[in-house]
Amino acid sequence: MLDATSLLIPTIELSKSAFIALNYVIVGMFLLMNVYITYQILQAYGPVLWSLFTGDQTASISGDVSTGLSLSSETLNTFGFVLMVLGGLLTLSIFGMVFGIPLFMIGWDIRQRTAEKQEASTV
Amino acid sequence: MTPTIGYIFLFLNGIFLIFIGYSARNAQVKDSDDYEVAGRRVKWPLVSGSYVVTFTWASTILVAGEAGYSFGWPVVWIYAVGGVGWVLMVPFWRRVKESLPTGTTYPEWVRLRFGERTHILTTLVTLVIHFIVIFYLLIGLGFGFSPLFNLDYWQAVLIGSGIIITFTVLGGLWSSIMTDYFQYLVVWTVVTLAFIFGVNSVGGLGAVYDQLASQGAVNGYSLLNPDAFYGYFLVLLFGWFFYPIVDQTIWQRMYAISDPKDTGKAISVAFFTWAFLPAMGVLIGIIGLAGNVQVDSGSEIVAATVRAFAPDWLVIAFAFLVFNAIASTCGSMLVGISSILTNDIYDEYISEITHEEKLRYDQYLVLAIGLLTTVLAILFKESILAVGIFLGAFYVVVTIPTFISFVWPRSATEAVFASIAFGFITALSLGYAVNFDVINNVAGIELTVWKLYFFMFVSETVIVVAGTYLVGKADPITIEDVGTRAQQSEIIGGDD
Repeated sequence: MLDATSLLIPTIELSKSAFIALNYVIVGMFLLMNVYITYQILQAYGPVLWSLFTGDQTASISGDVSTGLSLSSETLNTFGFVLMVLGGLLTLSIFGMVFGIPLFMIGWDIRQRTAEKQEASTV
Repeated sequence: MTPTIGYIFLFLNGIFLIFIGYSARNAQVKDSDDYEVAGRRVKWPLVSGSYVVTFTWASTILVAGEAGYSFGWPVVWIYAVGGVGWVLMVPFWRRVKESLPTGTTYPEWVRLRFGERTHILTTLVTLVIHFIVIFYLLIGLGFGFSPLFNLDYWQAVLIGSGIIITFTVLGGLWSSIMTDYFQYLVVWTVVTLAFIFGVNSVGGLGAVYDQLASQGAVNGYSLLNPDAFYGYFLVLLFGWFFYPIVDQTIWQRMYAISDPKDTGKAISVAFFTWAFLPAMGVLIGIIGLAGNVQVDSGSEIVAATVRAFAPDWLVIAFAFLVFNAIASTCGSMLVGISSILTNDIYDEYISEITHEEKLRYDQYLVLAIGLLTTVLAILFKESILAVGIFLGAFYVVVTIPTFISFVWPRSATEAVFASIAFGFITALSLGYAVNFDVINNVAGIELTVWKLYFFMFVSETVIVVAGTYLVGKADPITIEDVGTRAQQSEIIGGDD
């Protein structure tokens, strides 16, 4: 590089502690945004995912006849619970955190919707 | 890692992606509107997630790593700054979409705003950009994949592109969006794990710092340094800052959003999510530098670092990441280029066709262009960093004049055309000459990429402003007129 440009733009060295801290912040934010986007996608497409499991046609993407599995509430609750447990276990292991969090959220969402549907049918 | 494992991996991943493409075709794709803009009924979070992984090119992981290896830690924030342009362009996108809600491509809007001559030139520049990007992505596929499994470069390119072309031909943009969230999770998971294993192998972040210091690699732990500033920051600023205007993958998704009010949210969330991905790629490159990973080309540093420090299962997972990140973007680019050729060339100037006919043409074009770029990627094994920087010049060409006309509505159509024409010739000639070291100085002045970009930025601006004053009359066509013109040319209502 030209010497003149080196004068204009200095080299700013990071201390060891700053280097470590900044990199941890980057990794932390990286994971946080993953959770945020997954949550938003679930909010938007939870009903569609739901329609795949329950056969509820009104929530499918195109409004056409759904190819839902028509699972019972008990099966859905169990399925959601399994996903939550699996997601939770993966999250506890740092190696599985990125996949574990979305799995946990999907399982939780399925159980929530199942509970709402059961309550609605009781009323 | 053996070639056999590589083939098995590609086969299984390929089957999965092709299955999604096939499902998308059967469930969602009935005409060109479904193929090109997913029927305009995708909710913003899925588009946002799709943007994140579409923005994740070969460059986001591999070249970010190469740039980190070459220019040091500052690339962590430099790469993200290049993406700020997307957020700043949100008002522009909103106005374009409001003025032409049933549009499909950006050149289509240019034709209605600036006339036929400027449309043809803009279309040409956009096609060149998309073609180079597809070529560059396939090279990235070869560089990223072949070292992991000891496959020959040409095998990695050929098999990978075959899978990408197949699922894209089947499902178009729906295929792309539906595979994107899955690919997004893969990318995030694997990058995190690669970082963790890399850091642990060197002995922790503190040890990475100590290794860099002992090597005298100050750039590796600097917040800013001249090499990174002039070699990368200015280049990205003047190149990538403007890429959102001409990239059809962005326009497709923007038009795919079901509620126009969510356009800004989708882009902004996508940017803030994406910004940390290249940062992780940079860190992996720096870990490779600290760990003395040996490579013949800087383009291989990320893959080589993963192979050096990660267990076999993570190497396979990394291959998964490389392939899926590239596949999503490459597939989108293929749909993009076919949309432009069908809508802006064939339907506009050769023969009007129905939506169903456009769908067929789109699919044929995806196949043809995919095959052509595959052959070129196999024959010309260039550095992906060099091709990426060369590409940046073309983004400046169209963006500067059209952005100026957006903020300065009295910009004359003739001046905008002249500016784009000048920029295009400069990018093709000087851009190539400077990037590939054909010319190193002119009249004793050293030529560097950032100087070239700065020159294009300034000269195109001057041409628009001076040209407008020379023309001497206000441009009769405004952004609001675009919608009226569209109705008059029967675009709205879908008669074609």
